[in-house]
Amino acid sequence: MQKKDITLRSGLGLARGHGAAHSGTHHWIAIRLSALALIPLCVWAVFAAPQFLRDPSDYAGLIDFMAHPCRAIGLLLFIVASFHHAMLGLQTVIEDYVHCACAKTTFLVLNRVGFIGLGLACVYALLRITFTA
Amino acid sequence: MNVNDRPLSPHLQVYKPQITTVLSITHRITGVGLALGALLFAWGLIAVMAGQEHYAAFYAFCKSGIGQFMLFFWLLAYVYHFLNGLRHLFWDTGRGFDMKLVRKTGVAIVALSLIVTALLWVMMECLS
Repeated sequence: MQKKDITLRSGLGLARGHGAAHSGTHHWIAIRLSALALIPLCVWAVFAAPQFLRDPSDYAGLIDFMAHPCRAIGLLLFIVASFHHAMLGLQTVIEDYVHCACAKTTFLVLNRVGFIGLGLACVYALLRITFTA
Repeated sequence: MNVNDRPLSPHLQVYKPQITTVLSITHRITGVGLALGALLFAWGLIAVMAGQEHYAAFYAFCKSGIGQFMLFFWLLAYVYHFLNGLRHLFWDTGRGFDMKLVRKTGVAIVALSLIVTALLWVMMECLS
């Protein structure tokens, strides 16, 4: 506190170079919370996978299987958690390895648009399967 | 100061690959691979919605040589990223940073990934 009181630098001068305030930890926490959520979801998904990928002759059975509320909600949670996690992870990779500012910004926007778009398409498909079954 | 005049740290290539660095980059590579696999996942879900013949096309692709190849490596990436992710979450609690332990858990993750992937692949072949 003593040090802060005697400095002649302005608040802005002190903050410069320290990154944007308030949101620095958001990404870090979000990627870990989504990872935690994915632990049970991934275990369930991998063991349920053979039942999802069933022979096309049992198409009606597949629809019934997917339309069950527990599985539909489980799949919905899996889509949201995994797509969010993938988007955050790919964002880190782009930030670390794409150095040209123009390409970086383009890729970061495409990453966000792509995963939100694809995620919403998946959610739409799942809801339509569930509600028309 | 011009950005280009900044001193550079030695390039990555001068370092000998170690289990720590190799597993670290593998975590990222598998992560990117899994993210690209989301396209296949989305195709499958949309195909189910679109109808039986679309689903049959998706199913045929999955059962084809290239489809099986992709699914196998996707499963391997899935298992590795899952197990190594658990290792990362363990580190986030501030534990397990002793170098000997880091190497041990690293070797364990690689071995477990191969074993679990093989078991799951056999399970899926038997169930489907």
